[in-house]
Amino acid sequence: MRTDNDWQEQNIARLLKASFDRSVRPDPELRSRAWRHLLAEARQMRPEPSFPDRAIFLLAAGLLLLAVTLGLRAVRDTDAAVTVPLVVAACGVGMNVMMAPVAAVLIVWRRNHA
Amino acid sequence: MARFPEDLKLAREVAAGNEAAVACFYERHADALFAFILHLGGAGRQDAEDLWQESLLAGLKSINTYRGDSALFTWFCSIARHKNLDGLRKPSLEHERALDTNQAELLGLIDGAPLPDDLLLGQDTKVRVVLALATLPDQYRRALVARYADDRTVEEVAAMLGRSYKATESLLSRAREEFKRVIASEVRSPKPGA
Repeated sequence: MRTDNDWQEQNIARLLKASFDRSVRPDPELRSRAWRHLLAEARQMRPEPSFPDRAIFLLAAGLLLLAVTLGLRAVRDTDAAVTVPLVVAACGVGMNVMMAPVAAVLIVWRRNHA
Repeated sequence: MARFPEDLKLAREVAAGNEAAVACFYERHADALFAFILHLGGAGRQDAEDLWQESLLAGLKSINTYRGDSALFTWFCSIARHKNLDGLRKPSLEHERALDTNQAELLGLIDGAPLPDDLLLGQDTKVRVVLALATLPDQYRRALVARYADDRTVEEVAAMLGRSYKATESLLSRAREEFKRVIASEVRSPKPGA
């Protein structure tokens, strides 16, 4: 008399036979050819450089500090010959600081959509 | 947080050019991907061979975009499915012959009432079985395939896995239960490709 276990074993055997017997698998020659091809491709792959979070943070903090310093110097100095170049330099540095988050977003976007 | 952290780890190692990881992936999933492509339908064996190699290469090249949201095998299957659909827009002579054969078979069975539906269901079932097999742990999958798909005896499976007869019988029993569980969860979840 058949038990549930017998039926389960027979049904699973039939399912596997129908879905995954040797006729639906690559033949050994094709399999080894595809493997060699894949391995050659894999050897050309290089590890993705890690995201330079710390470097970007330090750069942005440095630029911010520079912009503040230049701004304060420009406010305190009453000589136009000194103030104007200081303000221009502070604007340039400020622009760079503003671009830091934009650059970070771009880097993340490119990494995810490469 | 990735839903499939182990697959994500494997994918990252493959992306880093780790040959052992590539070999691990290939051993684990290459055959199942081939069977998946054949069961998808629309491709003859020759087309399936080309599609299989193209899908493996395409997946390898874009592996750094894998985020672990689905199983790695499912991710490769979606690449194959898209490539298969691309191929179907310009069917080959072989594919047209295969469709003709299917149509002739359907016409031959048309008087047998629900059988055409059964044929479709059969194909769907095969895809589900391959997907389920690919998600099983290595030992379970190897044991089930060797015992039931390759018709090996329990003794041969035991020798292949380096286990005792009793331990192999027990492993096979657990593997069948797990397979049944995965198939059941597949049936409750949306159909493949939906």
